[in-house]
Amino acid sequence: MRTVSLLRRAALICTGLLVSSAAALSPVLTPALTAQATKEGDTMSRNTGVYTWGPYLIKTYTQDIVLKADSPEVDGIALGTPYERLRYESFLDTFQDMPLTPEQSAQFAQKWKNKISFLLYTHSPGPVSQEEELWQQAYNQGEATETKGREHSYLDLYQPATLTVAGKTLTAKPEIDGPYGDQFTLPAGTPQFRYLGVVHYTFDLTGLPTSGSVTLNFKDSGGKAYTQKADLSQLR
Amino acid sequence: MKIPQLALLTALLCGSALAVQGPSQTDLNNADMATDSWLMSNKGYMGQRYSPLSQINASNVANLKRVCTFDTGDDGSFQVTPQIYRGVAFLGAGNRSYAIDATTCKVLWKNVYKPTGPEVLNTTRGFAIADGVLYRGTGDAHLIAIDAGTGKTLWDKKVNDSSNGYFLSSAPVAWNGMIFVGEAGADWGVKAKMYAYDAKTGAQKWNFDMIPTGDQAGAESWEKADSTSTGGGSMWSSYTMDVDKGLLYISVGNPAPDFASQYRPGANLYTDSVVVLDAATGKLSHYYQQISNDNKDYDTAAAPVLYDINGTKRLAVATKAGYLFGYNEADQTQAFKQATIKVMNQEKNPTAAGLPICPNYSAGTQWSGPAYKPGANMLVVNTVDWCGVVKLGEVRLIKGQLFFGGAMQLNPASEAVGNTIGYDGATGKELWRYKSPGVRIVGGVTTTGGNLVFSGDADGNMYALDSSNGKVLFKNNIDKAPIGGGVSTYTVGGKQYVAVAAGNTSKGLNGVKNVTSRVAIFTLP
Repeated sequence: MRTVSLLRRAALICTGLLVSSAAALSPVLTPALTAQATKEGDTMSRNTGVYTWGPYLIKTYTQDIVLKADSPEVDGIALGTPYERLRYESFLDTFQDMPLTPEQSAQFAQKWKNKISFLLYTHSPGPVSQEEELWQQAYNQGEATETKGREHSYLDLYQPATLTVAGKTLTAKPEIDGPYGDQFTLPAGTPQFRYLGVVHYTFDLTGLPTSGSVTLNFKDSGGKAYTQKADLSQLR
Repeated sequence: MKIPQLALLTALLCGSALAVQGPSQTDLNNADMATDSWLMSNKGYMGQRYSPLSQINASNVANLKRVCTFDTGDDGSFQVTPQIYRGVAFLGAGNRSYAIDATTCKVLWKNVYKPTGPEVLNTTRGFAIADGVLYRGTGDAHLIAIDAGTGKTLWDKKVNDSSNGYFLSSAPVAWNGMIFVGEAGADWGVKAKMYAYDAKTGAQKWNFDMIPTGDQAGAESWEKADSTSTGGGSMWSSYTMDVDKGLLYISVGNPAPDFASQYRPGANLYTDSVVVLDAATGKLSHYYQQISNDNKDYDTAAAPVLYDINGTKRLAVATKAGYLFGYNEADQTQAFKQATIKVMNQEKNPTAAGLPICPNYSAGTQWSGPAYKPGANMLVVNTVDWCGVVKLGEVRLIKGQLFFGGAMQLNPASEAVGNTIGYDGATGKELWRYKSPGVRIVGGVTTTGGNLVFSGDADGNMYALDSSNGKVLFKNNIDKAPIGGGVSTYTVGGKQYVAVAAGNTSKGLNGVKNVTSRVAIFTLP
């Protein structure tokens, strides 16, 4: 029994470190929080090489590389707070053998002051081979934008999103990371090469409450509307 | 001309239904040292690609003349070594298989395979030949048997579902009534197996999982069991055997996904390894892994070579990562690991800015493995020195975690340097090096008793080197057809010939001029 109790305590401590569920969002990171976020990301990178979202992943539509018959093109929605964004940056920099210095961490924390970002992890609705034709159709209808240096894809069809905070509506343009290509497994078990990419919507909450519920509204490349609530009080 | 050669050729030329009887198991057992045949992709079971023939030698090779050319009329992948039996050369190119006169290039028959499933990649690296039958794989993952005398398909066995990414590119090997072949398709997310089939009926005799799961040995090397479903582990080229011990040696390619190695923590057996199986039962004997948890698509793709050093069995294998590995089979230890080209940053993660890396995944030793020259105890390896940049790319969300891939960009092809290199078979010490700046060398390499090393480059040059020092003794351009296949040498009617497969315009030689696939045959005037 004692062993079980200790394990539960250890699990709770770990959960607290990774999940930070009891902490409220900190719009401005203190030096202590800056150091803690940097260390968390660095440790995660060194230990596993895999980034674990924890509670910052606020919605999941697809759990694995297997696509269900009715699964949307959005695999999941994550909410990046200043703390989480620094943790992620630290993870990524250590992954590339360039760990953040304290000065870089402080600069990064300053850059994310009062900001939050919603990250949409997505895959193309059809195989890569169909993407160019679909993009051209959308472009002809004025629904797709062209970005120099980036391959045409479903990601070009994402439009600005809105965030409702304390009755006020903010708007953010999509920032695109992708497209990349990778295998997905269709419901029948057949592999199919799809594009994938991350859509970022970043909002500045200066002068607005940083606790309580907020609501994100956006549409995917096919026009499917999403409404996603998040409780900022639950995230550090 | 010897009687059996004459009989086979006469039958084929006259369209006779005379059945081809051989080669027998005894013929196959002697194939490594045979002079009138080239029976397997790498000549014999040991994979030495050595012919004792010396009519054509260092003193007269400069006089070689092309006697004929057989042009298939098609472009695409052409990575075979012409396989010779009783004066007939057998060739595979895409879905087509050919028998041609090995002295005149006259076409004797042509077999065209019609796929029944989607073709993933229709590269073939050759045949197994036994008892009058040719066996080869297809781009839709079938194993087919073809009558060597008539070209008619005898049986057709679906090995796996090509719509799931499976196909067969390797040259099968025949032994004691069985045909050995393995699946390819790691880059399409397959979970590959090695198989033995009954040569007469096509019935499966055994199979071996190259991506072990459950209670199979090696399953613990996949720390995340889910990741084995797309584990990879292709068999790309051909196989090697120790027939005295009944052991089958199999080079196994990279794990999948190619770059996001965090998705599949662990050593990822048996990827990037040489796996040794009991050929009769398919049971694991032992293995040698060249790269653990590969994240750069650095396959062990080419077949290993077996040889003896002072009575001790050795194994050598060359990899896409640019290394030549030597192993001592007696105690199953590594004897040497020799970089054949510049190697750099192979262990590092990709970066957003781009990590310079050597070699890139289209370089090193691709599908053509080392040759061996007995007596000189020398290994000869073809390898490409060519770097690239790998950028942090794909970010994938799976079960609440992010996995990071990479995208490799190849440096300009003009920076690639092809190499044919001689190494001491005991120590791995470099003896000599022939370099071809700006021109890749990916085809097969052959050694002979005439102190010659034959090979070819991506500009279509077939060349012969002095095996004692690597100096060029002969060079002839095969119509600017990029050479991705190998050179075989053999006698017909007591006269030595040399045949080379040229005209490979596949992924492995991307950027080269498109010239149709062809075989050119040479001899002394």
